[in-house]
Amino acid sequence: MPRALLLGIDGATFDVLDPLMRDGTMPFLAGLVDRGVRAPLMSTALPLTAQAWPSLMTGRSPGHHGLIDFARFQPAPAGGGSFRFTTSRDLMCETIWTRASRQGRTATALNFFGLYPPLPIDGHSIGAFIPWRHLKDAIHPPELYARLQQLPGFARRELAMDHELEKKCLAGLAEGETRGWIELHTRREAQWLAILRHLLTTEPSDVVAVVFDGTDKLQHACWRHIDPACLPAQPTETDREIRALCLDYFRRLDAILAEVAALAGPDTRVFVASDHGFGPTREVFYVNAWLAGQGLLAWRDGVAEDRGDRLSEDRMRSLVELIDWERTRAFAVTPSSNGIHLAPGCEHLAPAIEQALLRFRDPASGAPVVTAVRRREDTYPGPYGDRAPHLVLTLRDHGFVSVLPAPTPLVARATVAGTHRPEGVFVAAGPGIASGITVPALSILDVAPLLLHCLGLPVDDDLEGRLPAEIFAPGVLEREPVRTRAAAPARHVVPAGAGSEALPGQELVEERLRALGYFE
Amino acid sequence: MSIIDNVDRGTALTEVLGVTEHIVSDWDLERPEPLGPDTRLVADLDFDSIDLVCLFVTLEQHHAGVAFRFEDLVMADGEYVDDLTLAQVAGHVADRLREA
Repeated sequence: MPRALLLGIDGATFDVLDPLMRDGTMPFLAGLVDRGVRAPLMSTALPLTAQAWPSLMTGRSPGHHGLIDFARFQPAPAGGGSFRFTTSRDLMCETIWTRASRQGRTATALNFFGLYPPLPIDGHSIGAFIPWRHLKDAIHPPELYARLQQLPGFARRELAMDHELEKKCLAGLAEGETRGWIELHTRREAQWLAILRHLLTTEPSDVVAVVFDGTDKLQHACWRHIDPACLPAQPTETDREIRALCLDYFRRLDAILAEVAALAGPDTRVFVASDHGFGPTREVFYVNAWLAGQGLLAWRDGVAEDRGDRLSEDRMRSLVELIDWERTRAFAVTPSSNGIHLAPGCEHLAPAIEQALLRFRDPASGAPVVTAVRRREDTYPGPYGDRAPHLVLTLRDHGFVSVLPAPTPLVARATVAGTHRPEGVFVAAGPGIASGITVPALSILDVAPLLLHCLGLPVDDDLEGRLPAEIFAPGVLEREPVRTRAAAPARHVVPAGAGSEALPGQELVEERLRALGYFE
Repeated sequence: MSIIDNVDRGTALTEVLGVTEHIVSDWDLERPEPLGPDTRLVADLDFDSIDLVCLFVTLEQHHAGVAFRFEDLVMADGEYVDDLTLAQVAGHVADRLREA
């Protein structure tokens, strides 16, 4: 059975989980905390799934592992540029799944961002943020897909990501759509359970890790129904119904966590971690509108201003067509990067933009809106930090910027929404783990060395985190001393026997070539 | 390392056809015509931007270490192109492989 089980809960925060543990909605998690260790888990420089889960599974910060955002902007010499969704081909550091495989351990990693196309490991992986049409190529080993299709309740369209639905969620669900959104994610987590049941009973790996991401999706769309501090004083019938559905999601998630931990067995060390925390956002900062007001960005003639607190166009590429690149010196391209790019030759503008952003005030209250502006070299030190925008913004409510045109830079949201915060959650329990204690905040980078150690493996010296010795019971680390070693200079090393299967489409290509006489 | 040696435009088209056939094999498309060089990714196969990325990633997997610069294919004069035929993709693949 597994030596370590990592239950990832995307966007989980103790602000939400604590009340749910207290009121009996999440009894398994409450028990795990009671008999284990809890701590805040500090996210990456920008608390964003696209960089935080990769940091957790590589033990490296984003400037080193190279995954900064969901999309990578590639500037064009003549101005403007193009977008490309980031994939594992942009991941420049080895994952702990590969490190473990290389040393004779098996690994199962499900629903982690950065695992498409799959990296060769001895075990199983399913990449996250993959549309259903590409799910078959996001699964390792490829033959696992056929087995998953036989599982009861398997529905590829719901297990994978529907980008249209995702965009709707971030833009704000229309009246009547929320119920379906919550129920979809409740069913989706049940599918992950079915997959885990199958893998844990047929081919249990030495380390099993999974991300449940319905929490993030619900919290974005339904924060005002989830956060006790935001609940309406006079709830409507709809408010009550949505809150009940959200609580039902968390209740079922807790039961899933309990079953997965039970399947792993009592000898397994269980860890719960989130990639970032969550909190309310009540406004939208239109950073490109602000840049336009400063004379640094020009829109093309006739662009429509946003009137509905949206963060981006439905199609990311549409932004490229909204901006007059010849007259633009600074611009933001994605809400999720929360940053500003400087056009080639305009890098000297960084200090002035930074100061002007910090001086910007909410016209209603006079309070600052942008609380920090950091240079990318400081935010993302490492060889791949230049994939990030030149300036990285932190807003007073940690919200994401809007990149759309707007009449004014700051607009109050019609309703409170959820957004990411730096402080996530960490819980550990099981053999050798201390009992019933809270320890100071850990870094998301500490999880990789911890998992390697729990697999009985040395901790590579290129990992940026530390092994959190304080979570172990007294005497445990004397019995199982932490070993370290020099890291192997490898990116994604193929363990013997793993990754030798055909590439996607290779069979069909060879069949066509054979028909043309290229192959015997 | 490539899965095919000595790629010319003909073999590149064969490869692009095979990869695309694999990608769309379970999309439940109503597709009366078999894939051919004039098949359009958006108009005929309902490709979205992420589908393009998956096509390009698969082709990159087939030819490890080759810089395909697919951004040059999807952008023309600073604007995104509206559609691409499989022949255009194959031509780009063949050109980049010849340079590699």
